[in-house]
Amino acid sequence: MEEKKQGLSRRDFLKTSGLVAVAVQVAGIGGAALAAGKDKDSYTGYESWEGEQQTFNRKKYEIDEVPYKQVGEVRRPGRYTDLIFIRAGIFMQALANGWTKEDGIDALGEPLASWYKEHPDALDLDIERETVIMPNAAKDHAKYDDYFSLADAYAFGWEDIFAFYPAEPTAPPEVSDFTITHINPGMTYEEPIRETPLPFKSKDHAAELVKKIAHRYGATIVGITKLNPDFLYDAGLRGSPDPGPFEKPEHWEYAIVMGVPHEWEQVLSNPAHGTSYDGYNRVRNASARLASFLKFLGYPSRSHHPPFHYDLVVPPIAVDAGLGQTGRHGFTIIPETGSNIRLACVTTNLPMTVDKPIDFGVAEFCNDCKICAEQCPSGAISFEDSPEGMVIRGYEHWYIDTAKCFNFWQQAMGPLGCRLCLTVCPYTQRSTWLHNVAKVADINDPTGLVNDSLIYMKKNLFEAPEVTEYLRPPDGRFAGYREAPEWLDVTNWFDINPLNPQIGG
Amino acid sequence: MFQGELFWMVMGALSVLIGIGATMWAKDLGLKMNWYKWVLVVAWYLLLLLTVASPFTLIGENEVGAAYRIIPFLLVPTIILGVALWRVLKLEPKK
Repeated sequence: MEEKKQGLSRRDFLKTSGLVAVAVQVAGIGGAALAAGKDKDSYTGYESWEGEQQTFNRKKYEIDEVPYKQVGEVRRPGRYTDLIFIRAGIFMQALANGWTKEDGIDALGEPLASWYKEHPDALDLDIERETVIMPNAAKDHAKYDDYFSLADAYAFGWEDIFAFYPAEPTAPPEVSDFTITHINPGMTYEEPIRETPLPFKSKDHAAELVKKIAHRYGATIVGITKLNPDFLYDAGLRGSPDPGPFEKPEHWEYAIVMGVPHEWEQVLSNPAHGTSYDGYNRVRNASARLASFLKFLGYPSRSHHPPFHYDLVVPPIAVDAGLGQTGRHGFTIIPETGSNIRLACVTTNLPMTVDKPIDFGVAEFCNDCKICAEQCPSGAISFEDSPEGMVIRGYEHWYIDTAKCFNFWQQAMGPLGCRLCLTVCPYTQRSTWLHNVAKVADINDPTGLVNDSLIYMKKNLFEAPEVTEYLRPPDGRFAGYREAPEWLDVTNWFDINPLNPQIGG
Repeated sequence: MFQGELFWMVMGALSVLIGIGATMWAKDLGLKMNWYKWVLVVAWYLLLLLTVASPFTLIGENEVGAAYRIIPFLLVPTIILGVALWRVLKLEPKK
């Protein structure tokens, strides 16, 4: 009674303080969550040059066998056929020389003739690209280029250096991998820099140092594996005067695979406002520098890097090196950045401890998800429930129609390419607590419930354009998955009034 | 303001106040608390914080639509579990 007369008791004060503290703490957590969502540090990939961004504990998910199956006779990828860029170039030349479908496939000569007989749909798509899509695209560029000019200019800034660095090999690997060709003659080494390689203390030391250096040169993730020759192109070894078939050079024993993601704000605005060249350029620099580093130590090395300077296909080698797993869309999905990764590789004979492949549940997730297939404007990605029965060059693999994919590239506005499948992939998430919790829960849930819930939420909570909206007008509006970041919106910076097809209507 | 060591120190201090207040509320409301009831209370409170934090993180990521749509996903189970928790808290321990 005495306490009541004096006002609020100590007990009531503490009880009231407790309630106020709940309100303040809930508000504080809300504010912290908002800040976490906006935090640029969640744009993982470039925040450290010492490897801290390779955060996933791969040891826990290591497996002894690769997470893909050989189901038939292996055929190495055809440089002049399977590689769409080269095939498109050869085919375009044939058209320029007057070839028409009436002349017959054989008139195209080998290896295109045999390949088109195996892939008749691709022939029709390649014809459509050259005769319908590209002329339409030329009209669209004339109409809308101003609106996309900032994204185009930004991409060009990344792109133009690849003509200069690194210099392409001018001799077969038996020569060029031991020497250094440079556009500056003063930095060209026509003989090996060291006669005998600097010996490492052990394979572990070699692997550790190589990874440290690769990170310092800009690689977000790095892994090492023995090189599987199945993934070398069948012909046209770079630097070789012979454009024909080649065998794996003896000194290509190991592959050091590395990856760098695209810029996170920009990648969300694919297809129109994104570019491939930021990731390409960053990973190419890391790979080329690492090759030069190894040559300087006396170990023959060759960098295989974007945009098309490869003697091998990197994604399956990245899987071998334990960086990730192949997704439905054909990209390697890595735990840290999902499908947002660009890869390069250095082949060498430096003995190193290799990494094991990993299985963190991508195959099961991709079987159920299908978001990339649903969003793909070209229809290039399979909708099947599993890759069972699909065989690419002797391996079970999701079928990707590269001709359809490439045809959409040609009609899309903005920097060349599409990249929508890597954008919409649910694994492609910034490193915020929310996505990290979801990722950890999914990877460690044996029931598949989290898997199903995340797919449901991605499909039902997150907005996405209708697939036709990505197409050219009048069917579509050259939509992006998300709007361009403010720094790529041309109307924010230039005194122009461009025609904006993305408004639609 | 919402990041850094000072912010999380304040959050920690608030947790102490909440803990003291909760024990007093429980006593004054006549709840017979034991260890597992406290565990359930803490778990539910963490769920409440998660329910608040998730949409705000999505707003920060510029996914405002997803933020609004995730609220019922989290809020409904939080309310149902809150009601269930209240009934558990009112149970008398077996003698």
